[in-house]
Amino acid sequence: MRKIKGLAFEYICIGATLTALFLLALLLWDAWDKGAGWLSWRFLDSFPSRFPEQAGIKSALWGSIWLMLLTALISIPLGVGAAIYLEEYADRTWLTRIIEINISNLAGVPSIVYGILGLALFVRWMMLGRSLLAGALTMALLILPIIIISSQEAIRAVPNSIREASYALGATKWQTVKFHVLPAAMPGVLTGNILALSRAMGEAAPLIMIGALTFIAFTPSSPLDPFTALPIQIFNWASRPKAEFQYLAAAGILVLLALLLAMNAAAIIIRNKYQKYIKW
Amino acid sequence: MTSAIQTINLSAWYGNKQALTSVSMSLEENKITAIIGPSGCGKSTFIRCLNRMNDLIDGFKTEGEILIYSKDVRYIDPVELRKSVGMVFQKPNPFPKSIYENIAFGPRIHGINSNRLDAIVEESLRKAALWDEVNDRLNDNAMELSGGQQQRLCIARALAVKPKIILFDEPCSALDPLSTSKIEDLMLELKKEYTLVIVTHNMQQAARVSDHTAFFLYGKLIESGETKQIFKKPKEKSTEDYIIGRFG
Amino acid sequence: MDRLRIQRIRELAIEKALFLCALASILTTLGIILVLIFESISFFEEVPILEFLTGTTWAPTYRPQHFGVLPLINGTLMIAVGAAIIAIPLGIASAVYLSEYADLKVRQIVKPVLEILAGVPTVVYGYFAISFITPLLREFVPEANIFNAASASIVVGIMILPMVSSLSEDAMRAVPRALREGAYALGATRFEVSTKIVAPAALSGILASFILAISRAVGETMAVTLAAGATPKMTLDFFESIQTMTAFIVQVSMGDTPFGSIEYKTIFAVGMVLFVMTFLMNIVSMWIKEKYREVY
Repeated sequence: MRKIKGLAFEYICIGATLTALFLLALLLWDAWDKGAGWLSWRFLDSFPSRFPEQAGIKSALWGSIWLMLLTALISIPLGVGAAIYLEEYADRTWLTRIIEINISNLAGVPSIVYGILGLALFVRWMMLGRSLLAGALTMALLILPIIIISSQEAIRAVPNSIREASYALGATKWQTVKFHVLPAAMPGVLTGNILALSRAMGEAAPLIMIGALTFIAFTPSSPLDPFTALPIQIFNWASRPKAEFQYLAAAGILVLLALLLAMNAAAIIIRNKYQKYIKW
Repeated sequence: MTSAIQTINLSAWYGNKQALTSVSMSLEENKITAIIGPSGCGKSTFIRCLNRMNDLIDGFKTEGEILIYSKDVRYIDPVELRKSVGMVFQKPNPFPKSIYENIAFGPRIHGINSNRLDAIVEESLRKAALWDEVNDRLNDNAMELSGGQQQRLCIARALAVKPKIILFDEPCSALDPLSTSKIEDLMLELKKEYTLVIVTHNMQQAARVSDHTAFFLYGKLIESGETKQIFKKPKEKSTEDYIIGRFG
Repeated sequence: MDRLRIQRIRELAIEKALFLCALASILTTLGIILVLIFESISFFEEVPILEFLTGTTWAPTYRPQHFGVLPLINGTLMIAVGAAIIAIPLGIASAVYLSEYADLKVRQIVKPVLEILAGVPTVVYGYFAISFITPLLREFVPEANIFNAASASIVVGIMILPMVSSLSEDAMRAVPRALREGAYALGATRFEVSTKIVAPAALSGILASFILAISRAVGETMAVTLAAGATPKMTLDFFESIQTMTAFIVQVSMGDTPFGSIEYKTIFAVGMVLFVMTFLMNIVSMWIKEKYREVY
């Protein structure tokens, strides 16, 4: 009896795991099934249109790429700097503790709330309008906690013996960080940053909040240009009842997932490549 | 004989835990002083005070004076202090970079002109008796060296910033006997130019290499003196007990 | 000596700059709170706060206007509860499997795959809901609305599933081997060890993962906007069209409501409710994890 109960429990657990995996497969298959036929060079190289067979994601694709670069430019120095401060400089004071609690709390704030902040702060107050820069600033704040936390982990994983060796030679704190801690932590930092950026790549809600959901039939050429992005274009198509637009949404999803996959693959490659050299 | 290092009533705490109690001793120039004692007796804490490495630990504090060539270390910038007081650690800790970079790092951060680096690297490696083994692969990653070679590289790295004093914190405890004897030979060579302090829990090692020996117990300096005297005729009962292996 | 002084100044400047980076996170929180408070205050100058919090009709965009937020909260909670019903049993069971049953090889494959599930953008889940789940659902429940809470709950459930399973698994794996071995040595079966030893020991971490996942469901936006509809309603019928707080915020920001109008300000009032709810849940989750952490 005990055995049967145990076996049943095991099967339930396996079943649950398989269900999760099955759902992922189903989700991917559904997008592939509906969208693959609409993927073409023309789709990548055309602007959105009222006519499904002419519509493409050129502006969204370029908007997303611009947005990612700007977001990276803002969030990585800020986030890695914060992580260095918290791991290498900060004394264990109440302020440090508050900053750390605050960061893990921020990581749980819904993305749309960042959108509200972006709308009030960047679009209105700083008068950046519905621009790429406003979007990138909003996204940067959104992924900042993830960047800080993952960079902190990477920095923490650098063994103390390296720091001691550097200090013992008379290096200052910054020299130690710059020449030894950061290079050693770099694979982990990069991996974390890429994953954080891929999170931003898929976010739509904050961008809708700051007003990126408009008809854009050009590619941006400066950070102050209005823009659209892949998840927004997908949302736009998905919210139209006409079947063809649904297929376009699926095709857009395939492009978005392909980009995310590429980013994740890059993160994994970086991790594996550098792990070879660093064994403590 | 001049004393290179002198401590006066040195006490130290990690938070509330006292690690050293009123240690007063004087270490002579161009000699090897061994510091022995059971684990947790404060010997590592003691030498890590000498180059203020313990400053990096939260909640660490000291009382009393430490004089390096008659200058109180509290009034020396730690960066300057560590330049003249080098350290070699228990576990070899080369930087995960090339052999060359490991040695060049110290001189470079101290503003040495880069065209002199090659000469310094060679000189340091020669002094550390490593040059013949690595001169054809200076650009290889230091992590590929054997443990003993890594430790000698760490010694060369310390030499490259031209210290006056070198502290060894159980430098051979992670090494095999052959590598250990190479390091010991090296230390005997180095004392001609440098003042050496070595923490060890290997009594034979202390007896083999050191001129003076200090015995620590429970954070206190029990006795110190010429190594021969300490090992042959210790004044204190507890020193004798420790040396003949009754505890520790 | 001069070199030393320059070096010291540079060190100090760098430290201050890095400190400012760390401060950015505090400023973000302050920014969120201040923006929400200021804009909400001017909203509550026009709408009494009591009416907002207790009113059961939400109709800000047409006359006569009503600003009772309860229908939106109702919609949000329906999605959260529905998603939890899907995600918690599946998540916890797969966590048990991965932590207690699966061998290393299986775990090394399954875990990253589950992480992919967590990394799929939410708009993709929204698409999946309307293109696959809703039609399927309507096969079985023909009277279900095209936009309905059930379908949105299911995808949000799938979305937060990896969170439950991964955080719970971490908690269970943190239970020391010795505890398990002690039980096995007494002749316990794997089932008994999992349910009577590991799960109770990891309980705080597991509970914390539930709360965090539900908080995530409360804040979820794109999937519910696409699948759940735009009809704020006091209902418990999962097959009806509803509206969540997040979906409402999106709806307003998509339309062309002029800045400063009362409709525009609703974004901040509703955003405030959303922020407070998720914030409290995150705090509670953190607190449970800290407070009941077993010390081994």
